[in-house]
Amino acid sequence: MLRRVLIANRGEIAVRVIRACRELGIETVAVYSEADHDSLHVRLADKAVCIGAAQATRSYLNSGSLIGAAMYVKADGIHPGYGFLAENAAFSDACVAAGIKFVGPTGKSIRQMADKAVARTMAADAGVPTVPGSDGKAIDVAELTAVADEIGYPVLIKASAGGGGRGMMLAENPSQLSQNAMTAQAEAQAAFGDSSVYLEKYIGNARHVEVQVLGDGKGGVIHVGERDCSMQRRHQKVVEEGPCPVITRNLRNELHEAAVMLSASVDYEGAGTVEFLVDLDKKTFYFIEMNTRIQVEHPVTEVLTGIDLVREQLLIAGGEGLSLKQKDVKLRGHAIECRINAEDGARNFMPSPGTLVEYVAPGGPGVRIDSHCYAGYAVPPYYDSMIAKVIVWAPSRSEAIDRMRTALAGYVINGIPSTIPFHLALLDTIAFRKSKFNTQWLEKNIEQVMPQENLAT
Amino acid sequence: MSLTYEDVQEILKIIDQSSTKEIHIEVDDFKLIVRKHDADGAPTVASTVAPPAATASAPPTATPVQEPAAAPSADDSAKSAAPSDTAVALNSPLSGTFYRAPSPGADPFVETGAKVSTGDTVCILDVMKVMNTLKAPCDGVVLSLPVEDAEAVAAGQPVMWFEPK
Repeated sequence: MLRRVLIANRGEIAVRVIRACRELGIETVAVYSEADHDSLHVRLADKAVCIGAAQATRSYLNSGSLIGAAMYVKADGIHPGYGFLAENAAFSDACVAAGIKFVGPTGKSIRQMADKAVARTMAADAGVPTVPGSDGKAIDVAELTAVADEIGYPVLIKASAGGGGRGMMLAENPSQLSQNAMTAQAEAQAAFGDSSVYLEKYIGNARHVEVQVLGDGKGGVIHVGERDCSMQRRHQKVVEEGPCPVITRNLRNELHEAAVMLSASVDYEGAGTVEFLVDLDKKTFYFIEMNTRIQVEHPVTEVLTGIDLVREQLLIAGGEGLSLKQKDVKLRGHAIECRINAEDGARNFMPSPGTLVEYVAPGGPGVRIDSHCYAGYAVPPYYDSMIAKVIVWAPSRSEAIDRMRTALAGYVINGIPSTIPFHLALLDTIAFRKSKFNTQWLEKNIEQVMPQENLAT
Repeated sequence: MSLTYEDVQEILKIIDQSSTKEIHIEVDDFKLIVRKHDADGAPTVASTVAPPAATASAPPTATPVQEPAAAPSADDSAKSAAPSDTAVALNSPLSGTFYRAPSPGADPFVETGAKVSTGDTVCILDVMKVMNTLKAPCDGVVLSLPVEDAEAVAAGQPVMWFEPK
């Protein structure tokens, strides 16, 4: 069992991990940049260490500071959260070298799975279908163009080390490809410290369905159901729900089996997510990537199953193994998560850092808020714009939508614009109510969901 | 909680083996900042360890390493002063992080003296991890670049000056 865990992250996920640690009697150490002195995770942890300047590369992405801090406070575990160094194999290895348990898979597993290009090959070897694209890393624009010409446009440029849509860009023709490749590389570098990108054919009419897995590191893997994250804007998930409302029982079972098979083939340790594209026209699925970390939308699975995934991560890392068997996993009802961002939904989702003058979170049965915000908190401009996740559970999908409406309508955030008005509008669309949308729908219908103000530049 | 000489050696060893250029650890009365020098790649380290306070009531001692202020100021007159009467500023529309190049290690979009046309991409502003390209406000020549690469900037702060043609 771990005794003292350093949380190498910030924001709501740091708060989430601190709470799970506390329930298990594990001491917590928060780290923070100079811009995050007043963040909630700093207040909640048993101890807090400042690890550098505001820019993530000089703090949350600085493995030297993080490991040095863990050594100084004599932590025996590091939880990386999501983003930052969560899928950085060298960081996982560096933890091991320093005698500290990395709460997550081994550096080897990360290299196999978190490197999207290698993961695709692994999946193909395991008999799991993959989307056509570049087989290995294609770093420069010339190589990307050659692959795109071969598989045909439109194509997606994706970060090898990435996830969460960062460093991902669509290109419909060669000139867009060369233009967007640079932006994708810059975003990948800023978000993950690795600018390599690869290419994939873009499948238009599809749903994004992902399977949550837990592995004991010795080949034992269970799945904890799937989530549908098809409501996306600029490849960022906006709303996630579970179970996926549009797949047959057979397809669902195939997805679960493929996810378990793939994870078991790498002796996966901890919580992970195997992402698939379900082609709505061909009624088939493709492996996209595996995320070797806890994900933003993990609470959807937690409220559906009653399983605390972060607790499981900590138990597995502490050598306790899996506390669950596949037959213990029972899904009931329907869960939805809305990501609330500090962005102006009516002005092209312009990031809106600033001070939360008023802040009152909703509550009630079946409503969960994961957030690091409080009244008077100043949202800094240096990091991700997500300020809260609203998760609801109800016996049926339509009841869950109604519950989400009530929760969002009662969420008071004043001082900066948030995406709450946008989410309320989205929940009322016929497409969402009837679940008749694909991964492209929101991007194409954004004006219809929420009229955009003209931006004077 | 205290740190022994061996602990510091161990931490330095880890930094030395990694690509990390700087470490910063600050907790209670303890502060350790180490920077690797780029020039020769040698691990010339400047380390400062503030000793743990002997008594709880001891007044805080001045931190030996001065860090730049985290929050940039928009009305920093030295930095925002126009270099000439006719100069046109490119002001940062939002607070964020300023980048001069499309990716680390790449050539900057522009250098001082470069000719630009209205609408040319001249820098990137990272606001909450969204990369916004900023465009040249006029046809002309880059006069000055008052902000360093990867530096935090405030909304309204000039990040470049142009002499219009």
